[in-house]
Amino acid sequence: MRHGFAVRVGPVGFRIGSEWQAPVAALARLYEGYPAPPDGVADFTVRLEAARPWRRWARPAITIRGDFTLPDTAPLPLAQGLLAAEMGMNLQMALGARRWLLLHASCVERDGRALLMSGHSGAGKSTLSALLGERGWRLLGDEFALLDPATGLVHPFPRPVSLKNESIAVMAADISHERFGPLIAGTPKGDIRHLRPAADAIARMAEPARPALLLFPQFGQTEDLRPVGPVESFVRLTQASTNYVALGETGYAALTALAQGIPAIGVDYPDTASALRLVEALWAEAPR
Amino acid sequence: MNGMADQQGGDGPHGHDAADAPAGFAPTRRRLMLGAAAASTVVTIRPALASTAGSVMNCQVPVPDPKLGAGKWIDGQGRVVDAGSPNAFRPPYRPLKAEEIRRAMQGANFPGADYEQSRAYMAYIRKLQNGMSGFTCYQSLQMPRP
Amino acid sequence: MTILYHRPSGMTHVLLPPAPNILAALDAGPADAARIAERLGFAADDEAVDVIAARLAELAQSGLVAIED
Repeated sequence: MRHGFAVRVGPVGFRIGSEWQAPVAALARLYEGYPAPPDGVADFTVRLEAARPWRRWARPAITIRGDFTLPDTAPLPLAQGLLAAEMGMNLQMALGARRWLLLHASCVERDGRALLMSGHSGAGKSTLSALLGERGWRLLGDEFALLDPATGLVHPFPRPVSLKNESIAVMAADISHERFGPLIAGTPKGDIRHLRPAADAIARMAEPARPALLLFPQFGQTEDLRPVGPVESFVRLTQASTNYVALGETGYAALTALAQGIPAIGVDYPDTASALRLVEALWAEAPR
Repeated sequence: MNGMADQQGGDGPHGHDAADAPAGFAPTRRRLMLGAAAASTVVTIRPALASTAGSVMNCQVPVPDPKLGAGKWIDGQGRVVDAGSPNAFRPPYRPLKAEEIRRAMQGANFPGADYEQSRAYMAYIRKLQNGMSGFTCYQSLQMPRP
Repeated sequence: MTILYHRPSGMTHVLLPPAPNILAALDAGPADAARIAERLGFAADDEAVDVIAARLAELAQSGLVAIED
């Protein structure tokens, strides 16, 4: 590959190769302050390749390749190269990670205890974790929580937060533009802009935390809280995990311990201000 | 065997047998517990990879699968037929994207396609089998979201 | 609801009553539907036995019980 970039995010080293310079330059800017993989050895490789040889110049389209790939992946226009790299890194984790139970959840930490938020795409878990990360919490990750089956701890995976549509303006109002990636318009999920987490989230990316509370946030007309039993939590988390079945009994043991060990609450919220207030109130009541 | 039960309505596997059934456990309640013969009581957890990978990825479904031959059309039942067949439609000029299929599943038309055409494409997509182009993508759209 | 991890297959199943009760009743040894109904404290009438037989077939399909011919 002509252009390359390597980075460590939490416990994982990535190497991204690209046939174009632009996506790699955008990555280097977005990941400013992140360490390199230990000893320069990456766990996963992502390659951004031209969909067809001539497509490097003519209406350039990027195909995401790497150690692990999915069939039927649509190529992305070169203008969305940063998104392609991010998707490629997510995919390596989703398909390749075996050291942790991977939960599609955002995660923040305070006093060594972790708050997990799981929900379908668009439920606001990413925005909520990003906001909390600016309000006295440490952001562990907006996309994946890495649950260590041996210890029950969640490892940080503090990739840049993928902000979508309305949440871009919400975050841009309070945060220095230095921490934002370029606006990527017209993606399959609308407008996307990446936000580099606060400095402490990056500096402390090797420090895991013990799960203390699990929330299932979603938008609703009115505020509503609903306790979620351990079996329902468990089932929902199996569907939010990319490798639950692959991990076999290890995954079962890790997930039952989590589902039985911490309270879980479904949170309906009409706007982000009420979501933040509800999260703080539920956190204050969570057993220590 | 290794089990975990919810407290709410939780009749755990070790909670009941004839020997230690709680006193006063009314026959009607027991009858309710049995349920109807047709109701399913075992749900197996399937790999959620497709759903989660689908949400981090961006996938597409070619209509029809290029392996089925070039220049084919799609009929109203979603079958791949020869070009110009009656009650059949020209295929879309490019693969359909996951978001477009998601919207079409909720009744919207595909870009540049009318209602009948969109239903024909959806009928084709619903019939996709494992091994065909686009199968994984469509599966990822059908999985229940967490 | 009960969650069950089945070691031989590596599969996880969510069980609704009476499936967990039937499995628990089988702890005492192999039995037919009528005998299971009895162990669960039902009068071995046709309806209870029919329901339990249907559930046994479902459990067998998931590989959680084996049915002998």
